Amino acid sequence: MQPSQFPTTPSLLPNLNPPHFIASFFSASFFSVWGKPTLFIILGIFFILYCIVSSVLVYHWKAYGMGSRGVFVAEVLFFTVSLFFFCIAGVAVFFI
Amino acid sequence: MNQHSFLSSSPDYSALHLETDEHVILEVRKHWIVFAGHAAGLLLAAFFPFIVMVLFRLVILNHVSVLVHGSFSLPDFAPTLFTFFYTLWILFLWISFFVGWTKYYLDVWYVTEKRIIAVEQKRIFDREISNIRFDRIQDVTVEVDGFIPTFLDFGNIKVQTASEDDLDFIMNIVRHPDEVRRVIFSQHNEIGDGKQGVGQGSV
Repeated sequence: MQPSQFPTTPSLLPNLNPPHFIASFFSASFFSVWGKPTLFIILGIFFILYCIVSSVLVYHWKAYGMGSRGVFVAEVLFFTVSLFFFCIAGVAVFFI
Repeated sequence: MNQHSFLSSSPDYSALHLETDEHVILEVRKHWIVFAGHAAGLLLAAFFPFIVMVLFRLVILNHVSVLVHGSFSLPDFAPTLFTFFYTLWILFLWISFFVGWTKYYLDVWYVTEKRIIAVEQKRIFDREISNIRFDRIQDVTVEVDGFIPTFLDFGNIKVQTASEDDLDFIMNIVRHPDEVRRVIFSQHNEIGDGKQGVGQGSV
């Protein structure tokens, strides 16, 4: 067998065979390169979807909520808790 | 149906296009138990990732370790990664909770001195508004069936109208149905007395 002309350094891309994929997905070399950007993209897509749904909700609350105290409390609670969870998600990505 | 506490916060009913001498005297909503079922389902769903995580550790990781012919353990950042995805899952449930609450809260009957305005929020983009004037009401039927409805004071209410198309107003699982029926009847009677008075006066 002739030696390969390609370099023999291990690839950073995962082996896609099921057991090897799971193992390589969690490997430090794969995650150090692809982990943070991937998670930031996931967080960004989620945030865009969140903005769309929350704007629909706010529209309904403003248009049909009749300015009630219940709607006001719901609005404050919704955005405060959402902000808290987005901060946790952001911090989690930062520390990976 | 917290009529007094609700009105003290002076809501703005301009979206209902009320007449100048018309005021909302009662808001009728479904009992909180309708929404509690939805909320309980979301609460259970919040624990779902932990079950998946335990199964993942017990079944899949052992399987992977055997197949890759070596010991395999999760890296140090696995708990942080789990926190990230779990936070997104909780945010998804949180949004679902408020979508459900919005449908629950905006599904309401407004009772004024002259009519009932029924707003039916079927889905988030499916909203139906109907009006019925008190002089068109023929009967109001309340149905409280079972121990839990009696204990928690909720039931179904049906307002039958005298319209040709037999349009009836029905709301299920209403809070304090007898109180709602009493208010509707008292307004109905006031309208009836007013009409009688005008009729006698004009003769």
